[in-house]
Amino acid sequence: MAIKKERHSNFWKWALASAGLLFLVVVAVLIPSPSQNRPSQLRIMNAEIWSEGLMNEFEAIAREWGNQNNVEVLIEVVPLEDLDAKTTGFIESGSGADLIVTYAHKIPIYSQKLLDFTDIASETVRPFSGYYETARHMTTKDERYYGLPLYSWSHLWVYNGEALSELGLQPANTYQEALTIAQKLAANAPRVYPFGIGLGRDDDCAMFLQATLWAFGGSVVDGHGNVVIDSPEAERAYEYVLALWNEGLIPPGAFGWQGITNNRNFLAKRIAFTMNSPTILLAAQKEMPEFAKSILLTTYPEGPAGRFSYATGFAFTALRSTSKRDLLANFLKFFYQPSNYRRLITAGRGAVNPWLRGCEDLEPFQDPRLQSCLHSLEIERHVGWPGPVTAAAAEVFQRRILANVLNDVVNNALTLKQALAKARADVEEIYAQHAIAP
Amino acid sequence: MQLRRRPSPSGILKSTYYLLVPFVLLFLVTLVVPTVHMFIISLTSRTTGSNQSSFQFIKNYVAVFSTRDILRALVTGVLLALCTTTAKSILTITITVLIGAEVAGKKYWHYLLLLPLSAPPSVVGLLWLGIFDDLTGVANALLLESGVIQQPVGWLSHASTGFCAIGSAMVWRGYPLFLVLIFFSLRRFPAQLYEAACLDGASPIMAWRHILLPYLLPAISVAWLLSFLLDLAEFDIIYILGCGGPGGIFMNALMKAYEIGIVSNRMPLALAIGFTVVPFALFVIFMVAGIFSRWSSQWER
Repeated sequence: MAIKKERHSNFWKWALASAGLLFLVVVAVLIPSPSQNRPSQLRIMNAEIWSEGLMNEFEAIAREWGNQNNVEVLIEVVPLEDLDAKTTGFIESGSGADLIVTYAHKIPIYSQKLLDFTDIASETVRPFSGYYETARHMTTKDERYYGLPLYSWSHLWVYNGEALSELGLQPANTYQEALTIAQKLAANAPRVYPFGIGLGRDDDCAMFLQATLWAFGGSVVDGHGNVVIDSPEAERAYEYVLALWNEGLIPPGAFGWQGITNNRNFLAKRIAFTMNSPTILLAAQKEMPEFAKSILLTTYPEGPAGRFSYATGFAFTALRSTSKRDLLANFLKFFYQPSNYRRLITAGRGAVNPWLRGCEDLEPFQDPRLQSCLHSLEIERHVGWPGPVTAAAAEVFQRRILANVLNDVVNNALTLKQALAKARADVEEIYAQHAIAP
Repeated sequence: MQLRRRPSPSGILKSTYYLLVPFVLLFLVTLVVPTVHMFIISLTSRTTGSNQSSFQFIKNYVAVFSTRDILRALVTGVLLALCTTTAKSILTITITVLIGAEVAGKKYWHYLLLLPLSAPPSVVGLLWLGIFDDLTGVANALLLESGVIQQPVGWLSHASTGFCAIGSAMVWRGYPLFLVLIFFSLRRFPAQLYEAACLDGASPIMAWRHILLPYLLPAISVAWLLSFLLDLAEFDIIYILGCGGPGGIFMNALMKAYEIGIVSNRMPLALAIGFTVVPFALFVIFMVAGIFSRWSSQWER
């Protein structure tokens, strides 16, 4: 009897302990995160841009606001490689930082989960001369702002000026000129590859191919959402790039390049020009000041259909479920005061472009080379253009369907027409999958 | 005075089960609940950021096996892991034989050989990128200087050379795991067996083949399976060495799931890819557990 009693008491002891533990876990899961309960704290997730000055100024402005309003500001800086994963985590879980700086093209895709910023946008833009068109397209859905345009970075053509001046050449104004320049450079210095761009899965390649496709009059889908990746215009764009490859003007390992490879090869003077953000100039100014003086930056050259560039931008967003709407509005109004916004862009030293008109007179853009950044703002187009920004358009870009065409021709022995037909099937499948998703 | 009887062994066993209850509950809450939740999501169709969702039953799982890219990533991941793990085991056995010989500074070799284990995968990726980069890499520089090649080779641009480059980096990073397990096993090796065989006229190769290798086999098997699982989930090295390769040929299931779920906003399909790999991984884990238990019973005997 006594043994039974002892066993029973053991059982109840452990059952009680287990129930207690379970209760604690449930409480921990159910109660909102501490940040949501404490209005005196604002958590910001910022995307890391390769400019120390910009990052520091962002933090300084946020802290200044925090001190004035007695709010503790916590800033988490996320490397760009992790930005998608972090943002997806916030969207999926419905919790995280109070204010999120993320890729602007994600905003129309996530709009159902994001806070409507239309009122704040109309108030913060007032002292400026409006938003750049691309900024507006990328942060709105059905004419409502679900993100506040912050800044973008230009994708420019970056030349080794020394290599050009040796042959008395100027940066290319058209794609045809670029081909001629590349041929002359290759003939002059056989061990330096003129056209230094990856043809694999890196971001720079994806942006270059997209801009080139537009410049030749092609696109992935037309304005009505019809797949036109195999149009004659697109074919001509690919023929241009394949000519560069076949003539040996692009390095042999280009299909295996990744994001930093072109930067590294350019600074090592192994390539004569590349396509990159102006951060390559900032890196050179820091590490190779003499070489930096000779670097030239220009916008994308003009193609048969015009001059285009792919837009990569960032914007402030917040989850719709946030309980800190007033605090966020207060912060954003402070952040976008012209004095603060202008000092942020100035601190970027050209690494980022303003997405609000009226900052063109800022000091970094007085450098003639960085004026290309401002020109670039006018020719930037968003993912999926001329169609809208959609999840399907973003997937086509991210899965590197455009680069796969080149790989199929060069490495898989398909003809260009066959490769484009395959790309068309891939794009149609992606669009169909997203059409199934409600 | 009432004497307390000692509880029976079965009673003690039962109370130990009670001790486990909190951990079982914790396990249920932290692992089983999210897994079930994710499995349910994998049966739906929705885009990240969208509020609507519809039940699709096994449509995503059918898509895993019917989509060319995904199927290729699954097969590539398994083949790559098989090749790298086999290469690691061959390399480690060779090193073990060499280390077994009297080499000068033997003690320090051990530490040096374990060095790759301390490097994070991303650093290993960057190190090997420094070797296989077409324009600034060491491999091409050496070959060009020595006149073996006239033009740089795009190591990461082609399937064959790219797989070799990625495989080399994965082998370099992973072989110390084999070494640790095999060295540990060797420390308890009864040397008299080996000596007796040699006295009976066995050549060193025969003694190694018939005595040392069977003795090391359980350790090699465990290392093989662990390494296989780790290589199956490799991400950083494959990403850094060519972002998944031209046309995504180097991508494994994990990279594909990341591309589809995180970057392309189709989480249900990405989860379906993950759950397709799970049964396979579980099978390997059970095999490891089986070998462990057989190994330990051999030790006891």
